[in-house]
Amino acid sequence: MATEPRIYPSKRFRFEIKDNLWKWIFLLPAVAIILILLAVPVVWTLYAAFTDLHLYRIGDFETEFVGLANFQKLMSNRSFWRTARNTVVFMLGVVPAQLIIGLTVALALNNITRGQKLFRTWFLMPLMVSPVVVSFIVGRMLFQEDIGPINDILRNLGFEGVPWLTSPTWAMVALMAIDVWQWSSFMILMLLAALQGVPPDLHEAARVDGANQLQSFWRITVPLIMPITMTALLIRIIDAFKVVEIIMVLTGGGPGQATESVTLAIYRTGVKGGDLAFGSSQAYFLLIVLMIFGGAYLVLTRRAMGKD
Amino acid sequence: MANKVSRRQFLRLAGGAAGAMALAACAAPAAPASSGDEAMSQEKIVIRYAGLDGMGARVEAFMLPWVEENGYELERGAFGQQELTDKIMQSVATDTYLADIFQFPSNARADVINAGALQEIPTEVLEAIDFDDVLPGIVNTLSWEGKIYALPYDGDIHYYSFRKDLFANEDINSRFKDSFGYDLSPDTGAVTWDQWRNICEFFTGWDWNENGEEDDFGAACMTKRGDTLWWGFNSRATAYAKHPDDDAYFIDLDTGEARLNNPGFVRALTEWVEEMQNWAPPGGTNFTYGDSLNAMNGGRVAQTYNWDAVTSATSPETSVIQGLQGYNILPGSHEVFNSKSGEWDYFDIPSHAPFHAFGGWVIAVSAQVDDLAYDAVWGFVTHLTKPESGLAFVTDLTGASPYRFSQMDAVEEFATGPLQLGEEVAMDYLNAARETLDHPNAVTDQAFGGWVQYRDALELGVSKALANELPPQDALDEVAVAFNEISERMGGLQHQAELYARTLGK
Repeated sequence: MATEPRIYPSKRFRFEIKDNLWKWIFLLPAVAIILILLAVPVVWTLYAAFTDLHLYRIGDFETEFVGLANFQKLMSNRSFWRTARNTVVFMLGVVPAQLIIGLTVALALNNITRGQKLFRTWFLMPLMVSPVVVSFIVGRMLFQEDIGPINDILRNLGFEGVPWLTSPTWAMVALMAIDVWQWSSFMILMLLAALQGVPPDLHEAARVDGANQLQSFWRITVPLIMPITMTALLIRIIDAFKVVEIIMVLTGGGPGQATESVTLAIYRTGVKGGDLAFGSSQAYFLLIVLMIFGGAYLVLTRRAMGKD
Repeated sequence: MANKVSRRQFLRLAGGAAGAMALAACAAPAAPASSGDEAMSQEKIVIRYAGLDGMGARVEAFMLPWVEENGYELERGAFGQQELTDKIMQSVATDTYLADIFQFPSNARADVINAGALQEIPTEVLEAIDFDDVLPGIVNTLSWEGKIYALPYDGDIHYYSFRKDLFANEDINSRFKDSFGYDLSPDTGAVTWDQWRNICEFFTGWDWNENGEEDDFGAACMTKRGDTLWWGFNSRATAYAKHPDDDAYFIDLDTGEARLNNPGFVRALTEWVEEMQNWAPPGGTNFTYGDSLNAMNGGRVAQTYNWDAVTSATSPETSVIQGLQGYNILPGSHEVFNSKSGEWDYFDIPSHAPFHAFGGWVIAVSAQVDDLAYDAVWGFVTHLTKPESGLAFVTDLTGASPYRFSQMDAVEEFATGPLQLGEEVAMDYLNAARETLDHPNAVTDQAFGGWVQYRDALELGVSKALANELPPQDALDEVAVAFNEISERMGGLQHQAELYARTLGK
């Protein structure tokens, strides 16, 4: 019977401490910087959310602890809930569209044998452009109602011009179109990578066993690309919840409040308006919602994929 | 035997070396190798200026000869409009250094000056720049509680501008008279907002610019939330809501209660929504300030009101209407709402209440200027704002507007200088500027603390009405509630009323 080599715990333990000490010394600056940059703002924002801190209040005012007053105000603030609704509508509009476009194009790319690298680079390009630039070029110029090319084409075809930026509904559609244009590429690249990780012999074996292409797709491809798909979806959902740049450039949150997102509202309240207390409570609300959503999403997807 | 160094040893050595270097860096600097004179010559006084990118570049170009002549150095921070205001407000609120000299919007004066962020302008500087020559309407934007804390750079106000050539056209005028019973005036344009509305309606939907398409409209205004909607709406509302017998406009000076939902404001918004939805180019309810200028300068609309209507119309690259525009103060009204009595008062001669929209960019010296740079900084701002320099700026394509009595008389410089306005346009422009800045019923822009929040609240409500999300009365009711809430957060209604009185020079 083979015997396992004997380990002397005390010697190994000493060795590990000495070994890890150096690792910790080298890691310490990075850890400290991250802690300072991350923890300080997070803790400070939490503190601000429980005060009446205001940057631009003139006169002899002391910042006071107000308990949950800012959160109570948040709950009854119609304007904030409108921005929350807008954000959810935006997310529900863009993420499924990006998934469908991403999957369709990735499947097509995965099946072509020539020019795949060219297309992959091509589809990477929208991701390299700043959202501000995209909003200005794709948004403000293409969707300009008066002399923009889209309405011009529509009018030349005999249709009425679309009030892209002055109708609450169409303004949201325009924003979604821009986001879908820019971020479908992300989905394409992620899903293409996932598809290329599927071993081709599984499909061959299925074909030998009599499975058709649809069955092969649903039973082999989909389960195997599911982990990456779910990760990509989570990233896009969180990004969609935090959307701000394209809205600022294209609609400024308008018409009315039809396209104002939660993040834009936080920026306006806290940064521009100087109401750091209420802005912080809004920011924490968004953070908590995203943490709960992200946690639930991860648990449910792991369960669905049978990992728990 | 070769000396081999393991990866772990290398990391240890590298870490030790980095630590030694860091310690060395923290130690006192070594004595300069060069002679004392050379060291002195290297220690030039640096003047740090923060301002708008475009305007700042012109300031830099203008001031560089003076800076070099005096042996100084200039470091210029360039920002976008919103970014600059945010930077200044944040630096003031957190008491951190931004620059020695900065350009800031005069309607942030309560926030900036009251926080002790600026130095009072010394008497000798005021004398050197002939401060008595500055129009009283502008002096107010530089002052706080009777003391001067900033220097003038730009007399930003809204001008009414109209197509003088169209209004002088006999055929067009006769058709207009058939419809509305009076003549178009090429000298004054619309004198009342009722006339403005008639002109809007008349010039919409037919090919008066003769480009072969019926894509011509009555007016274009700045209507986009987050852009310049605040000024677009207030310029439209002042004639109805600012009574000549009452100094206040935004909030009541006695109670601090918002006035934004009174019948004067509601009438203005109701009419404005109709105008922008029916008589402005497509998208007119969401136009930026640039969009409205482009519509005017592109020959698509017959009238507008704006800041840069004059200078932008002079460039052949951006305008097809050079020399065709007339200028006047903003239209007035025969009926004005009296907030004190709660009634509309009738005036035989239209009551005007021109809006000092934005009030202009001003130049100020930070309270945190280093002692070494003190003389250089004051020399810089004196040279920048003295009468000759001011005239050079306002008669060039800088976007700066006139603000001195002497500039109002400089017709020749405006007519034949870089702007090339021509004598007739120059006269119109300067008359409109003087009348607006000197008007007894002019409305000073909101400048009491928290103006950014008030602005956002108004823009949100007006934008909802423009988008038909709410009727004008409901939208402005929301604005009034928001105004009062902001006032409460900023220290109370009474506190804000007192600050408002101070911004009005009371």
